[in-house]
Amino acid sequence: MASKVLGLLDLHNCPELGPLTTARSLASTSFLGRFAFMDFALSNFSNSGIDEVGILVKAHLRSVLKHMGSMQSWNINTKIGRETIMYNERGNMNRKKNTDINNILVNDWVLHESKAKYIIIQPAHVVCKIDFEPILKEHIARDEKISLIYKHIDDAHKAFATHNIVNVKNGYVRSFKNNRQKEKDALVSMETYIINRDVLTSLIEEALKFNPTYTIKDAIKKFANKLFKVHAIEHLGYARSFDSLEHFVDYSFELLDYRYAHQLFQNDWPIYTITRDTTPTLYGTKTNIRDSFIANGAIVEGRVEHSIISRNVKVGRGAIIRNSIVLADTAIGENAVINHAVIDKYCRVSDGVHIDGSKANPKYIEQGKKL
Amino acid sequence: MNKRIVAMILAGGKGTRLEALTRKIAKPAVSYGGKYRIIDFPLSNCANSGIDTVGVLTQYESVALDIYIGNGEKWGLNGVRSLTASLHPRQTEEGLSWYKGTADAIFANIDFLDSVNPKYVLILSGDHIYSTTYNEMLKQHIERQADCTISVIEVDPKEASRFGILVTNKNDEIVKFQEKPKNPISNLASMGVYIFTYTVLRRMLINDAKKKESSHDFGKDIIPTMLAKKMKLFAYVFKGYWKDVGTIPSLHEANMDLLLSAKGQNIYTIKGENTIFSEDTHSHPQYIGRKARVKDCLINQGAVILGDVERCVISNEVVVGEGAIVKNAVLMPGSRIRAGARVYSAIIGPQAIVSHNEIVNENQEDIVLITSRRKRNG
Repeated sequence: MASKVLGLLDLHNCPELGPLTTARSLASTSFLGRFAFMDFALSNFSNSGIDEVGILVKAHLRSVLKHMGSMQSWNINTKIGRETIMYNERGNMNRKKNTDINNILVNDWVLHESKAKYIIIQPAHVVCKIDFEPILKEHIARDEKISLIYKHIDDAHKAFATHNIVNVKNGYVRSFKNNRQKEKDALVSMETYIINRDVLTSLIEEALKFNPTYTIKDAIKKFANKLFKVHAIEHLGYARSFDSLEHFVDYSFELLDYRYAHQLFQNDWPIYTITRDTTPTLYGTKTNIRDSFIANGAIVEGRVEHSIISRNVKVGRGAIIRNSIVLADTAIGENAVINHAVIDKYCRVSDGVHIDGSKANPKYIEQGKKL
Repeated sequence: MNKRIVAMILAGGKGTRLEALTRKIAKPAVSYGGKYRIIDFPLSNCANSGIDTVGVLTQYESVALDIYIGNGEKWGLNGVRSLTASLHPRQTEEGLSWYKGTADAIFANIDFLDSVNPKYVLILSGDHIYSTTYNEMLKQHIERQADCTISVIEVDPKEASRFGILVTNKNDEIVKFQEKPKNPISNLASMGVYIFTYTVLRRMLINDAKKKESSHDFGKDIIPTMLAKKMKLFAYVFKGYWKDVGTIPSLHEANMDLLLSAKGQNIYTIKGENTIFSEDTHSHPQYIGRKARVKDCLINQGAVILGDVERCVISNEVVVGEGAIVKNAVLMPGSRIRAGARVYSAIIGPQAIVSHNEIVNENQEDIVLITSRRKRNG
């Protein structure tokens, strides 16, 4: 598949995860103690044999670059394969025009240098496992112009709020509408597309003629069934749209359940991420750990239940952490008690401190805070 | 190339006493500490010392080890000006010759050393566990204008006969050397870590190669010859954790040394300021289940613990099933402890399986090794 496809990871539609994303992109936000959200989409590309990838960065370039490191963690061939950062500097001056379409135009050399006939676009905030190989085969065999991946969900009143609901008939999208969160049962667009190269070019042209602030998502919705038909392909596996702090917490914990986790984590589908050469997790003699993800580099000497503990976190003796997510390099002091909280990176929670949130309203502690 | 220092890592040994663990893999590639292979330690030491050129001498079951070493990328030894080379016995006009001894292995690669033309050569063992940098040792070697500096460690006098033992004067100059003596006259053991000035090493190797009666070994031949010639040999006293794991019980013990409950050290004090670099396994997150109990363990990413584990070192992709009890054990990558099984004082080899309700080593009189693998489909 190497030369036929250019993968685009589109970060322009990333929702915010409340205070977690004030200084970082959702794409590079820590997930399950070990990953960043963008690892899942990038691994979908790698595992599908797509080695040429452009990353359309809207903002927080620093945090994206930090996670990308030497950019080779996701490549199959480190010379042929490449992850190109696509960033629209002018977009920052004019926020309305900071769109994926304008980003692609500013970085038009990426497409110019690529021999790809097909472009596959994925967002970073939809966590899923998609093998693009059979889907692309279907797209080519049917001689389609655009294929859209959708998912049938029964909680549209809560989930995929930033996505379009699609009406699908005979394998094509008949219409799009915003998810106004009124119905539960719906087919939602996963904002994941296969587009023929020439179709993308004309889509962009038409979109800009119509409205210079249009995104690819807007343009597909607007011009579907006018300029081209949109072939619909159903995604049957796990997919969640991470679009708020509440969903970040709920969906993270949901993956503690094997019934969800095994759909995402399969032996033949590694999730690549940047390596940090941290030591394995060290557990003390008086620990009590239940139902949790614990990352390498952590030293746990207290009690952890139904929680996610990230890299290099220290949990002191007698400390109790329940229903919480602790991000990397944070230290929890002895006998501290933490329930329903999200504690950002580099925090210091002193001995005996209590942090209490609720299920509906988890307490958020900002990066670097000393308590 | 004119390098200041080049490291040559001797990684050809079979490690016979590690039994089935080294049947298909060289001892330096044996799994350790949940995440590492033993050779990660000397290679990381080189990287942390700023050494950028490393030759790894492999011989016994070298394929897996060669694949692991690759271009040195795992230890960052693939950057500009860096070079990592696996050096095997090779076929020449004179025919094929295996490495006959530690010195012969270096002698056979004199062309490699000449091509990088180092001032000093650091000779290391690929199967020792310790974390250090060699900078102080090199500094001492240069200051004393030594021909050879040997890194030594104080060992228990009762154990001294397992090692090369040396006696120094008060200037750290080596005056006597005994290879594995019955009656050791000191407790300073050679760690098998040498720095040679290359011009001296080159001459010594060429002369030794001509001797028919020589076993072509550093400890047995090169060092005694240099002492007899009254060349300048110094000891560099290493302080810290150092393990030469030769047997199943000592490999088990070296793993247990990493735990928080271990006396005198744990993984953090052993690694010190250094990072131990290793392979990235692309594992899933480590999951501890609802009914699990985890006490006093070192557990790597990718492990799934649903049972009761205590005083264990557990590697990536290990699964401990519900109701299983594992105590005082090392679980190597991909091993499976099925539900209800009980495992005591054991090393479970890579990909090995302990079946449902199976009991391993309940008497715990010794450390046992289990290497039975699952059957391949088809």
